Amino acid sequence: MSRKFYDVGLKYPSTCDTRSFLEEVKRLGYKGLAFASQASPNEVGKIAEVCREVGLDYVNRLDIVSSSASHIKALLRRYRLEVELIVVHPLSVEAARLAARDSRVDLLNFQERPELFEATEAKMMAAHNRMLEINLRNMMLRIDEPDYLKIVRVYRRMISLSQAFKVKLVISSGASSPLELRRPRDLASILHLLGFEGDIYDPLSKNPFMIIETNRAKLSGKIAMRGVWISDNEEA
Amino acid sequence: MRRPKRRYLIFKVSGYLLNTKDVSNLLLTSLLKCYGIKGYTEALPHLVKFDEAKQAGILMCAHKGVVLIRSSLALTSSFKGRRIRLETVKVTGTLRKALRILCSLQ
Repeated sequence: MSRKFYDVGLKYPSTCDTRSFLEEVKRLGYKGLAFASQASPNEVGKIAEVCREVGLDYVNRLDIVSSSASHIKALLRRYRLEVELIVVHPLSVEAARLAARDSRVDLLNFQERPELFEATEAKMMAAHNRMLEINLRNMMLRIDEPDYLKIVRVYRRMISLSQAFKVKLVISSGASSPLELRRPRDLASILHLLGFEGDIYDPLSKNPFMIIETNRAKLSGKIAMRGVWISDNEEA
Repeated sequence: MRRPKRRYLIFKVSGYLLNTKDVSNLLLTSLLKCYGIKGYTEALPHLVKFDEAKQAGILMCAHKGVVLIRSSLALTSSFKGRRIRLETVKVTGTLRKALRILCSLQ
């Protein structure tokens, strides 16, 4: 069976037409996508419709950037039953630890404050099955800048820490134009450069798909409680 | 002694019209930048063919170097200040199949 690749961290195309961008995503071999940046509800509806026409699976994603644990909790309470993927970008230790243990959070992204991703957070994430999102945009597009080695060091540290504590990864391209997009297998191969050991395709296929599938089942009421799935088969 | 296994990567350039020399330099620079001389000796890349009309070509490498080449192609994002993309279309084990795929590309 061929793999289904999901890029769950794209940015809304600012310079080009949305349809041509989505067609390029499809042509490169992705099955589904999610946009990381904010948009108005009308825009989200329009993009979801274009995705359906193009043949892509649109994933509804919410990004929470906050340093306050109570603010994150309030947003989780408000939106958990509406969106399929929740990503928290913690800006404080308190927020990082709350996100690492709260079961309503799907992914944590430490791109804003990489220094907050320490052994304690990694241990908590592994214990509560939270995944770490790594956006490879800076790695791909800032290669000619003088501070590139610093960027590589940050990525490498995050990956080695996540591997040491067995935290699962989800990678994304963060592309906002067709030329910034990469084929899924090309994107995944960058992990090899960063010292990732194991199946390099899982962070772009199996791991995001697992989260999306579980969350959709939860939202449609197929999961009665943790570990109990309601079967579709009436005879069973 | 067995001949080392080879792979043929069919790749495509988007965003800028390159000639064979540019592509060859770009591939080499990118691989050396990402993996250094050690990576170069592991991958042993060689540009077999580049079709300037289609902006696509075939790159031969050692089979253990496929992931190195793929990642260095993915990390190539600009050329002479313009945004470009180098994408691996397909990896094959024979040159004949690679040529067939290159001919079928639009």
